[in-house]
Amino acid sequence: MKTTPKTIIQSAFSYALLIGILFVFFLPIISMLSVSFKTEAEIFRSSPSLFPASINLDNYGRALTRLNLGAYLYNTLATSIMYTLACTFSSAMAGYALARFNVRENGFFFTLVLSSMMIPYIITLIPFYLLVKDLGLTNRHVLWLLYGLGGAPFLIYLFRQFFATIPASLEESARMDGAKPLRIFFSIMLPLVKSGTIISAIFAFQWSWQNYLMPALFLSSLKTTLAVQINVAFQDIQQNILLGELMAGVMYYIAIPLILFFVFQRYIMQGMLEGGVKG
Amino acid sequence: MKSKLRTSTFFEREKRKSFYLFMSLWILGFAVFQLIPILWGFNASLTNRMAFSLKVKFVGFENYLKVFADEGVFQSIYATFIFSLLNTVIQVALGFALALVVNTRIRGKGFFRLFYYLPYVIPVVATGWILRIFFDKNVGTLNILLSNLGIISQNISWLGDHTLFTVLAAGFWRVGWSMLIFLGGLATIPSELYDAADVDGAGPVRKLGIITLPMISPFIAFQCVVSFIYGMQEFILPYLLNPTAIRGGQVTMENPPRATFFILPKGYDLIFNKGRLAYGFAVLWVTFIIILVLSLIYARIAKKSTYSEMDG
Repeated sequence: MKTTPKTIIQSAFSYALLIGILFVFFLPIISMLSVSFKTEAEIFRSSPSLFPASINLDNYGRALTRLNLGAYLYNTLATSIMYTLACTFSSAMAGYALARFNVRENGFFFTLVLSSMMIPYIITLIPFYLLVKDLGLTNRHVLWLLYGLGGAPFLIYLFRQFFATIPASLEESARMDGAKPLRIFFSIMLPLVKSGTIISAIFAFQWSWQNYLMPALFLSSLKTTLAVQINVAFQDIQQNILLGELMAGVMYYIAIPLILFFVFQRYIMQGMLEGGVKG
Repeated sequence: MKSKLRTSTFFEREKRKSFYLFMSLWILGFAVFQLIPILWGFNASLTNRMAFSLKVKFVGFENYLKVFADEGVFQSIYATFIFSLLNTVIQVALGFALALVVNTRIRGKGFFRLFYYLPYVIPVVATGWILRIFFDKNVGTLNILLSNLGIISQNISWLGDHTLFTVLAAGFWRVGWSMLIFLGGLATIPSELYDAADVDGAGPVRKLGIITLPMISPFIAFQCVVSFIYGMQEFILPYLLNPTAIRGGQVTMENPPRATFFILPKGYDLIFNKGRLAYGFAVLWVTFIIILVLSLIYARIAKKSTYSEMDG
């Protein structure tokens, strides 16, 4: 690009716009951090200030014990990891079936998978909960594993797109050598969609980590996840919300999805932009 | 000839066997987690079942007649519909605009993409709490900022007087997902089209109109349907963005105000708080049918009015 006065003004304008939008998106995050560093007295001052007087980490220490972070982190990780593994695995299988085996029913099943997105999951989850409760099987983390085995429509769609880009010759030659379908899938096809698998796992993990209703219905207060616990942990005896500690607790809760995102963002950005989703 | 036919049916059979082998988990999951529960719910909605009722009897469509006469339910459906519509506008218009902004040829666009997407990674319950404190009348950062800048002289009760706005703001904050879908769409447009338009001397606005918009229309259609469906399914945010004063108020999942008392929280409330199981399921089923019908109508319109290289 040539540096004429016109292009300089243009790019200055672009950056001003981009930074302005960034500021708007970061306001709530700034607010969260600011409140988490303030003392309760500072938060409720009659004319509160935008920024804390000093970086005060007391809230982070107290939030740790109030949230009982160790126990609930374990619950959240256990449920999320089980759901992620099961859901990614099952979605990969279904996506593979829809991408590679063009039998007559293929179109019907593809439509059915996509349509199942239209069923609000609450409408199916509440009856499912009542059924499971009748069987006395609630309050088990392993339910997340089972629930994940049903796969997720969007992930199936994603896997279908990824599998469709792989040339058929690879499968053909393996089949000629007499390899069974499951073996072809695990040893040839699945390793070829590594970035698709990572993206799907991230989305599945994110969904499970933030899901509120499932732990709220199925798990007791000791076995529940952070998504539920974060709503009840930060009250004093008069049931006032302790804002500073709550924001510090929220920081703990969002840390793991954020770290995962930063570690794997390369895959998400590339995968989604280069042939992941097609209209 | 005959043997060739036989081998082809053999392959066909093998292919079908493999297809069902790989679909089996999904089919099983669909049956157990979706089909059976939803039919069970329908069955329950035809009875007089309460949370603790002993004598359950079949009452036919009586609950459905009650649903159609229930002003509270109508109010909730209306509120949900308005929210979904506005949220769809935000997701599509702003998501697309952001995608265009970060798709320009300037240095550091990857950085902006990443950080515009970031709020979407924050779990939704955390989003609710962060925004509840952000919007709080007395201690919220927004009011502090606006009064420091001299824009307002009296604190605004965002959560009390502008509840719908606050829930929509959460949707706006999480627009990164939509931006990503549109960026994926923009990446599919061959750059030769823009080169050709350059040769013809078309300006940026004209290029947007004759190339970008038609080429991206399937993504717009997709985002419209998905945003609408997800909007109809909003559940947790209205509970968290509750106008109850933070100091002195209880942290309960009490009912949100009318403008944000959406239909799924309403169904949940009927079933678990009021114990009206059968009636609650009737409400949920009506919601399901509404979403289904609207989506089908929508899909039909979108199919006719978008550009697509594929048939059918």
